[in-house]
Amino acid sequence: MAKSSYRPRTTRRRKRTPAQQMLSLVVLVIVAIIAYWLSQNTNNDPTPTYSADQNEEGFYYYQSLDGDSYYQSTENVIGQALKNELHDIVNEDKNLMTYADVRQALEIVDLQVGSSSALYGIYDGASFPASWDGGATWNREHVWPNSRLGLERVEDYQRNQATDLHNLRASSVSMNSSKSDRFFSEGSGEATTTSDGGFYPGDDHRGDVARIVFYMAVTYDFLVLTDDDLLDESNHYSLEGTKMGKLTLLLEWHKEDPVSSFERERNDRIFDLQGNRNPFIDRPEYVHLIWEDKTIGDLERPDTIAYQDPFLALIEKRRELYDFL
Amino acid sequence: MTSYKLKAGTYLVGDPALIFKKDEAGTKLTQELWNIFYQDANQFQYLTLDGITFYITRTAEGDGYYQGVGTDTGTIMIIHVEEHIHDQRLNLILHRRGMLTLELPENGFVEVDHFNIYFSNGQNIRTNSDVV
Repeated sequence: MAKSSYRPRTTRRRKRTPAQQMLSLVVLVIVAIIAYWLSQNTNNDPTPTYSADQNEEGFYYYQSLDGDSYYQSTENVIGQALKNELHDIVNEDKNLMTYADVRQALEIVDLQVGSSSALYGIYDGASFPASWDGGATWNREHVWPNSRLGLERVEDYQRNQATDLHNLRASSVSMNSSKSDRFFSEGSGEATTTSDGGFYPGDDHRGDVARIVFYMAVTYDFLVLTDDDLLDESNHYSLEGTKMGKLTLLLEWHKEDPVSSFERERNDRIFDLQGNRNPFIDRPEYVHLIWEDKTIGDLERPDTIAYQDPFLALIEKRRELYDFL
Repeated sequence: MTSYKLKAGTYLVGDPALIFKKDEAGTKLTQELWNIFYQDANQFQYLTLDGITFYITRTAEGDGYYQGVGTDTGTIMIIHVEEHIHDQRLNLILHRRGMLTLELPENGFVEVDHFNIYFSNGQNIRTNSDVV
């Protein structure tokens, strides 16, 4: 038998020099840094940035009612009872304008922050001169669409849910056409129609529209905020056709796009002109108490909870005393 | 003032939002419509979009409800029903709330002046409250 020529390969390792070892280490560190950078910058599902008034899940903290006479009667009220209470509050001194007069009102209430001459357009942030130009550049957009308001007729001299300033926003004429009677639907980036027959209002406007729609659902209790049957247009312009949504999406947008200074200024101006406020701009946490089954306790700020513990409160008092001395 | 002749027949007058379906084909047509219409939105226009012919004007005051015709797009279109009755991209429902069904027994016309719409049979839709 012929002797096999096969010889096992020796696996003798060549010893690396210290310089080579150092080089390997440097390469390894660089690769690790690049991998970390890529993982942080190629994430397609960015973590929402919440405001200081929200917890890590985006829920707004409960605010004290001390000194807030407008909402005083909502103290310790949640759920449907809170919705009913807010309905009474916002309707008590509500003094709607005619649809004709709304044109002039929007010249004031939709002013950009810090401007006395330019309006802020909804959905695209377009800028318009703050004077009515016959609908050439901007017109009155119903955020809760006109055809879904349960009205069979609206004339210029009438005052009703179609003339509520909170629901009307200055809009570029083409953007108003694109939005049309569509419900709000999922998207990202700029405002656009969606393939399910809806409309995405744009990243910077999704929270604004959510709070407007919540206001309408509370103020006019025959309006239906839902996720279902939103594509059914057969009952538009009637009380059977008042559905708007999508509710679950609006609840998310309310968290992801927090209340802005524009909305706060607008709310104050509408209060001056129309006599009522949008509660979900003043007290965004009420959205969770009405539509998300949260309790006031769920929404307490952590430091507020600590103060409720008598022992922790005593420690805090002692610390304050030492600081004072 | 701009006017167009209308053939005898039945017309639907209303918001394109209600006439164009919101499925894929209808949405594509609607997007095309706005791209063309807003090149000169102050004109009363006669358009043909992928075989669909119609007339369209903007309203003077945007969204609203004008003599029985409601709009969420700030525009009103006029479409001949018999010519398009089998087009699956359209909702041509007669006597629908928020729309006007117009019967023209003989040839006529439609005129738009300052965004007010006047038909030869005497019906009109006034969207401009500043013009009496």
